Amino acid sequence: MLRIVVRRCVSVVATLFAIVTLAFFLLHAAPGGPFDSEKEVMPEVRERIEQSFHLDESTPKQYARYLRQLLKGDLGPSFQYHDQRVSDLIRAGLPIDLKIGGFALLLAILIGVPLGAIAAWRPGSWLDKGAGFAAVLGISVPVYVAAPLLILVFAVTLRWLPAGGWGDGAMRNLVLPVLAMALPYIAYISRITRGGFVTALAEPYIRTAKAKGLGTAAILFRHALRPALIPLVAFLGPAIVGAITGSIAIETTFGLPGIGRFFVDGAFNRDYTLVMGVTILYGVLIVLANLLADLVHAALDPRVRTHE
Amino acid sequence: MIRAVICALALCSLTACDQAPSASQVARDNVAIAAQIATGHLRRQISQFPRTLDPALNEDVAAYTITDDLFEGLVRLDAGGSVVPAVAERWETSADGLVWRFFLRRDARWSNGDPVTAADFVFAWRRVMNPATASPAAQQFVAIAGAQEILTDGASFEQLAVTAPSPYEVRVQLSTPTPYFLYLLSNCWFMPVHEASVLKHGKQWTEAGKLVGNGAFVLKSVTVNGPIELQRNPTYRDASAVRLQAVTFYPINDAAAATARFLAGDLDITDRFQIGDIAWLRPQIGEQVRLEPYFGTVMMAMDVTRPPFSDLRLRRAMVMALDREILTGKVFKGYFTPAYQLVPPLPGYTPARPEWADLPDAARHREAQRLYEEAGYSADRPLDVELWYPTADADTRRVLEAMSAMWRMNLGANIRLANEEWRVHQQNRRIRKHRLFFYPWIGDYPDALTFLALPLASSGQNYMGYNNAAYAEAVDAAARIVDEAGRNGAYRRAEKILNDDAVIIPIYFYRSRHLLGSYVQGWRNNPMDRHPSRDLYLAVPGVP
Repeated sequence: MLRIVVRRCVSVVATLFAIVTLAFFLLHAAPGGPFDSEKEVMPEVRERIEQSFHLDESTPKQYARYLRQLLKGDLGPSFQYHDQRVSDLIRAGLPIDLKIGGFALLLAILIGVPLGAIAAWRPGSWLDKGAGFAAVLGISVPVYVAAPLLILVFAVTLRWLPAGGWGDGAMRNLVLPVLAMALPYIAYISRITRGGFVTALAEPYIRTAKAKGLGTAAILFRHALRPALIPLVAFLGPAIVGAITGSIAIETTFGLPGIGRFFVDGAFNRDYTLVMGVTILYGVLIVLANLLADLVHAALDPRVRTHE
Repeated sequence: MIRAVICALALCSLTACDQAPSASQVARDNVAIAAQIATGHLRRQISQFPRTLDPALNEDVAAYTITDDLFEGLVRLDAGGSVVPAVAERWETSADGLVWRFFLRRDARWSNGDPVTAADFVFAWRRVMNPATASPAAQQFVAIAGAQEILTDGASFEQLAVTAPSPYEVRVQLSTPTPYFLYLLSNCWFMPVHEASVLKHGKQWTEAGKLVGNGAFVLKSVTVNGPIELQRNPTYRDASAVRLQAVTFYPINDAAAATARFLAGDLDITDRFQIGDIAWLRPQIGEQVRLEPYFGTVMMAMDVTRPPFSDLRLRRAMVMALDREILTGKVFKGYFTPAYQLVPPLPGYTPARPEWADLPDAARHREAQRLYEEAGYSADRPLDVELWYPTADADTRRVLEAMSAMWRMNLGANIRLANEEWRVHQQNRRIRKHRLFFYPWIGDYPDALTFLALPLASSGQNYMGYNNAAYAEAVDAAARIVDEAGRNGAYRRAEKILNDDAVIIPIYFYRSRHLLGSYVQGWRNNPMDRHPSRDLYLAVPGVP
């Protein structure tokens, strides 16, 4: 187990360096600059502004400057939000996504895993078909359709919940975004869990358990659960990162101040430092989540440990 | 995304929402409205999170809207958009219109209790010109003597001709008579800033708790990409006139999401709505849908320096071939007005409407066709060119498609729509990559010059490469006329030259679009669409 961790940590640094370099040069290669706007500024003014952000320097020089800054743990000032530093922007936005993404995944696991398990117990039954239909619906209806529909029903028509806003993280503000975000995850998780269980339930040791006269719950959750969860764990690693780094659709529709929008707005506005900051964060989280998924996998599956 | 939201809302229009609200819903709404009125708290949408709240660095409408509440200049705009005294109680100008003396009120205070003095204005204005500030607004000051030299010749920013002969007098020397100078002064870049707090906190001076302002409201809290909360400023010089207790600005860039939040009772004013939504919004909320004239023109422009549009006959054919009444009437269902010339409707200004605009359609089409053929194009050899536009909403795309079809039908020209991402489009326009392109403009100040200056050789926005000495002289001469009627007459003559040269293709004039709660009072339409919260209040309709 320790060897997995050490080996991964070494590759993390190399991966991150590659991400930073690639993202930096790709961003700067994109046509249009952060200060190209509808109202043309005089060349003298443009020069001044670009100087103040070191955009007058060559790209390699800017890259070297950025790397030096990064080594000091500084993500630099945002091009778009003049008074803010990228690290402050991320620090302010990330907790919101953590909360919404965290709750959404939790909800998805709590509903999706039992749903998948039950569907797998009797493949082809009406329960399985119903769960399958709901999953296809959840996967194929995109968030940007589901979210406005939820708003329409629960906020505009019934007036039970606010149509958007963060409201300092009050529960009533969380319900709709968490639900909208959880829907596709519930669908994926239930499908993956079902697949895992169907495979696990066909194993000889399950037949043995049945032959020994064990009850349904005991077979499902004591014997089949662990092997059945392995594909789900592999899915959850990147899914956690996707969920907690925010969804542009959820944030835009519900007007939430998370960091998901930084990715898209930052890219549109050529806010180089902001996009770099979010990319690095995303990279670090992905690497960590995959590491975590591997560790859990190893804990669940003794064969992985033996191989290592 | 936006389309999907519209789909969802359109779905609603087909079902329950199309009907008038039920009695119980009305009663529930009334309770909510009464509660909102009692708080004196106004909730406004802004269409993006402001890049900064520093008046010297502002460059988006969201920031302008908020700084209008946090700061107050020498003059301000009243609810109807007219310039009225603010920190300056009166002013004098020299006969040649070049020297302005502003006399400040003695009772104007910063939110920390310090008096607002002439030195604060001098500091703020010079700060904009200071290269270290890197303000995008520096060119707004070119009317003031010294500004051009600071910008182009590297003169010290202290050369800007604004001085404080006494603590309560601001003296400004202009380089050229500027009839709209007073209006300019109502803009955020000319607002005073509190020197001590700017120097003390550096870039962080605009943070809540640090920002010292002199406006009707003070900054209470800011959440990046989230709400910006303001509360009433007790030290404001005219605090008794302010009836709101607090204002919160919500940055929501999706117009459909803002509409949903307005309908759910979460917002009192929205900044924008999809034009197509009027059809189902009007039956539901009636007069709360506001569609008012706005000082902006949607047009296309042509690069006149290169073929094919270096040929005046072709340009004229392009301008004349479009059926604007159909574009605005059918595509926009009459919500916008057709544009035949550059300058939008402006009180006191009679636009130079081209003669062809009044021709019957058939005659106009024939004339356009004749010019098109004279320029050497025919069915066998059609004009084939791309019309470049930035990624736009569905409304704009539909208009562009209709235009392309009209050029094909009325001329036989093959105008292909070419879309590019917004920043890329801005850059490509700047480096003059395009021959035919989307070119909308919203005026900076209520004077025809803000439009007529666009095609001048000296303008940064002249992507057309237009350079006509007669036009430049006509505009320059007009801008120097202090008398408004005389100036407008001269502008009209300049606009006529522009019409004859067919440099741009005007399509329609903008309208501002707001959803405004029936209980929001004090709102008056004005063509610049500026609505400081100072003049707004919440009350049951009909009750003062």
